[in-house]
Formats: sequence, structure tokens, C-alpha cells
Amino acid sequence: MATLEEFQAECRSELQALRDGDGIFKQVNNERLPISDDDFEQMIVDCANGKFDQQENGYKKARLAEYPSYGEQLDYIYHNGLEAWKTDIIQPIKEAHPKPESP
Amino acid sequence: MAGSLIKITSASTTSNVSTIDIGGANWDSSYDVYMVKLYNLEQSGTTDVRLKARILKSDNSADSTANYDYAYKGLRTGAGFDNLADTNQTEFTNLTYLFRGSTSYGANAIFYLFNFNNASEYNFITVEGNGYGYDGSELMGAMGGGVHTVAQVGKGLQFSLTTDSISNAYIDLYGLKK
Repeated sequence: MATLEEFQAECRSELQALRDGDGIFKQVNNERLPISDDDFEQMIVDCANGKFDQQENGYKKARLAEYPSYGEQLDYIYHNGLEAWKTDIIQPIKEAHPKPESP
Repeated sequence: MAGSLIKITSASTTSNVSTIDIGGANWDSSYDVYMVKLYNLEQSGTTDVRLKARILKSDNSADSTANYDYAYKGLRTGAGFDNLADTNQTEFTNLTYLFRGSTSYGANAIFYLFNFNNASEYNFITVEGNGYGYDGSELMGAMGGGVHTVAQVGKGLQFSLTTDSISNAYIDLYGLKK
């Protein structure tokens, strides 16, 4: 598990390489401009926060995206019972996207 | 009524940019309500992303303080509805739910902006957007709204993606004629 500071360092390295390579641009109305140093620092913050959130909460979003609709789940429970619903529907999704362990 | 939407400014790109600002120096403060039309939004990468937006402040810079609240219903063809809500975030996100944008699909959205010219009121937006997302084979959308809980003037929106650059987008800002 990485810390926010470690993600910031990782993002700075990745984005600096991009900026030194092809450059990083922004669109302001219909003007294409190179990003400023302030923009660059904000990109690092956003990048690191995004990676940290994905690490901490990505499993929740991934599970939410894969659970079938309530109707499908209720139908499955009606036909197969609660235990089958747990093992066949819920458990595989939870195992595919495990909750990260605390450090 | 014909002629009620007055086009103020546009922004478009067909090559990679980290952000797109609509409004800012081109903002026209003579309207009560604004509409932003965003279409053919595509990304530089190939994994699912979420569209984000920040309010442009009076100095035309984006407000990145943690004062964004939003609540939408997430719509999907492949599963049931999802509740997408959060408070005290540094941006509005999930504006079209998930999408994966290439040349064959991508995302589109309409936003209405309220109270942007009133320095003593919060800025509100309504959101209706959709895209082709999740695994590149499912229509996903978001419908709802957000509030920026700072009493200040807003001068437009700055769009970006959770990861990747925006590789293609067309955005138009309109004022709603009084």
C-alpha cells in the first residue's frame, strides 16, 4: 500500500517525463496553450489523489459496477436461495476485487 | 421560443489536452442561466474514465478547493441504477458515469449553470450525460446535479478526465435569453 506522498512522487515523475517529451497542453476556449507550472502542480495533486482513491476505494467501485441488477439478484434468490446467491453471485465479485489490506 | 439560446463561446480540440476551459475570459455575465453542450468527447487512453469539472473563478482559474457536492443517478444498460453521490470533493466527477472513448464511441453531455454571476450564492449545475463505458460495450449515463458550496462568482467550467488526456471534444457555451 503506497502513501499519498509516494503517489505524488510517482505522478511527478510520470508527468515530468510527459512534459519533457511531447509536452502537456490545455485548451482555453479555442486557444491551445502549454500548461503553466501551477497547472502542472495541480495535475500532480489530482493524479496522486486519483491513484490513492483507486487504491483505497477502487474495489468498491469495481464491485458496484459488476453486481447484477436488484431484479436479477432477487430472481436468483427466489430460484436458488440465499446461500447460492452468496456463493454464485456475490462472492466471485468480492474475490475478483478484494478489499486492500491495511498496512 | 426561437432564438432563446445565445451562443457565447466555443472550445474544441482534436489533439491531446489535459484540461479544457469553457468561459473564463470569454464569459458573458449578462445571463441568469447558461447551458454547456459537450459532444464527441474522447480520451487518449483505452481504459474507462470519468469526466470531471471544476468551476472557473473570477480570475479565470479553476477552483480546486474541496467544496464540490454532487448527487446523480447512474444509468446503465447492463445493470441496475447506481447512486453516485459525494460531498466536499475537489471537483465534480462522474459527469457521464464511466466511458471509454475511442473514435467509435465516447461521451456527450448537457449542463445547465445557475447562480454563476451572483457572488452571494452557491454555484449550481444540472447534469445529463452518457457515454459508452465500463467494458466498452455498455451505455452508461448520469443524471442529477451538483453544487459548489462557495458564495462566489463563477465564469464557466474546466473539464478533465480522471486519467488520460482529452483527445477530442467539442464544447459550446450558451446563455439563456431572458
